[in-house]
Amino acid sequence: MELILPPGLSKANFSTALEEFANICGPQWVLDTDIDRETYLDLYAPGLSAERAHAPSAAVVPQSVEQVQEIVRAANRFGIALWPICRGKNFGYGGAAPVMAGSVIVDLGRLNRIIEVNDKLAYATLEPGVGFFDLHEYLQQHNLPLWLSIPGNGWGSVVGNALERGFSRTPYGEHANSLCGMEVVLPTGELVRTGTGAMENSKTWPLFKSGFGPAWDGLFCQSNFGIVTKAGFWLMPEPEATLRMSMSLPNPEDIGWLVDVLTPLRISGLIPHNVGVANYMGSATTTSQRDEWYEGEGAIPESVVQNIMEQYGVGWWNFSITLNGDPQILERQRELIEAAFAPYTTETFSLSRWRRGEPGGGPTPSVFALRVVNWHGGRGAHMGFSPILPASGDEILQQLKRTRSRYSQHGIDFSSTFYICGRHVINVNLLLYNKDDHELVTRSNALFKDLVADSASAGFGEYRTHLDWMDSVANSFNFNKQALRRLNETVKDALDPEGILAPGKSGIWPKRLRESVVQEGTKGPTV
Amino acid sequence: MKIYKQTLMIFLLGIATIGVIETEAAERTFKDLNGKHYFEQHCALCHRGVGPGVFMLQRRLGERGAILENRDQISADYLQQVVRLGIGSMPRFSRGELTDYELVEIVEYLTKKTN
Repeated sequence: MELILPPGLSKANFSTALEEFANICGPQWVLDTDIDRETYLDLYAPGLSAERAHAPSAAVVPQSVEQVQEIVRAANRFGIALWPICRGKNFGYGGAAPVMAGSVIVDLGRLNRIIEVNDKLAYATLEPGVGFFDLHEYLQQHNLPLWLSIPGNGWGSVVGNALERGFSRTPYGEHANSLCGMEVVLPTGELVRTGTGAMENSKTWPLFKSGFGPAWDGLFCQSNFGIVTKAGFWLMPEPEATLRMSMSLPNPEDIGWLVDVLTPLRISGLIPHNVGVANYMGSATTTSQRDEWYEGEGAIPESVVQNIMEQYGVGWWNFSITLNGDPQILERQRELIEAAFAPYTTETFSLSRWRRGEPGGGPTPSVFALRVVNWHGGRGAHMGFSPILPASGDEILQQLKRTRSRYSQHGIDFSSTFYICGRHVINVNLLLYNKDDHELVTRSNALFKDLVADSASAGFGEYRTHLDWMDSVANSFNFNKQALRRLNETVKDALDPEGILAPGKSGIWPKRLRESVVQEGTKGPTV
Repeated sequence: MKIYKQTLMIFLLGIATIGVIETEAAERTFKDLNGKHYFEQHCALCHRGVGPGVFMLQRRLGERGAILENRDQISADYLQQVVRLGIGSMPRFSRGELTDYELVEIVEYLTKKTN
């Protein structure tokens, strides 16, 4: 990958900046060869031009907070844009790559200390390079009765996933909600601790979120206001027992009543976690390739859908509920849930029970879900379109109709999961493609554009998106002529006057780049 | 078509809870603990058990080629290139994530038996 310089920087100044980074971290931790740049490209970029549009100029790999601070200060002196990553496994949303080409990656993977795990108060204090596999192994090795909540792709950073508001299907499944207290390098290089960690001798940093006065943790999620170098993270105590209840439903319309049944159970707490309701595609995409089922034009037809359901023995929708706690209470909870379902379906739950001391039981990190990208073969990839919806059966059915229609129009196979999270639903739709198949990528991008526009028209925004679409999605939050964008920009300019930290993240651009980047046309597609 | 029904149902009913099932590597007559350690740290999550690497190699090369640790006649140069530049949907590994030293150890672990 040829060098793309940071905007506004001469090659000579860029070389001098890299020398400074080398003095800070050691020359072996400044990665600036053509191959180095390749290794930080977006693995799942929707097309080669998209891959190049987000190419970094180099990477620097610090091992300490002090080194992060020095890197940030040097970047301010040179006006060089930095793009911090925890482990760079944000697949489907840009991976390790920056929004703005020419940015220097700050790879935090070597800040990988598990600083503390407290099994009595059920928390860990982590650096951003700690992955789910690392923390899970630590808990196992030390025989600690704590469970992790792990996303489908378990390869990434615990802190990084939480900062991106990742989620999963466990009682601690809203991962950003488990963050408690952060240490942050601000864009000027100053070090700050949030919550009660702001006290020199705090003993409650990972225990109490708010601190005194404004609570800042949320401002460092999906933002470019600072580099998080430590975070408290709450873990789930191992329960006495679990009871898993699984069901498949035969018809697409079943999602309507299902949402209306699950929602009050979720809000009341009877169901203690977000429930993921996945369509039939998960079975086929993780174990087979598309051409084994269908080689015609357009999306796979209904006959193939039926074939997939029959061969795998799955429903149009498939979900499970896992109850945790005292075994006798779990059985009563099961009865109440079964009673709530009885008026709507003759399907029955299949049950699976676990007791403490038996093998298994808790979530285990895996990358099994990444097998989906092989659906089209080649250099397989995916993007996720993930609007937030009200937990109302009627609204969900309308969204399903809208989205399926768009997928069909663009000839893309419909792969969808509705996560019933209580008052809201997150609808994660996968767009699977071979990134070397230009025609398929073009159709996928056109579909994505329509999906964003449709949802915005209906009043629904996305919870998270790919680099290419951050501006578009940010623009869809358009109350009072983009007042939220202006607020974000005001904070950005105050905290980051030189505009060096992650320009363009979540559609937030610093003052020095707001006009020039738009004029150069390097911002993402607009709706 | 081979359908992994049990695996499939686990996926559908709780994608986050899938474990990496250890597959015994081919018998070896040498000790290369560093290489094996780094392989397990960086590669095994995909290249053992039900990982995507096993799945994709199986499709390309059949059962015998599915397990990377069982492969014969795989060259060091090829491995190094694949790790740094990726292949298919396999990610590229940066030197920040996997140092040159660690890569050499892994390559030695995977190629030693054929040398």
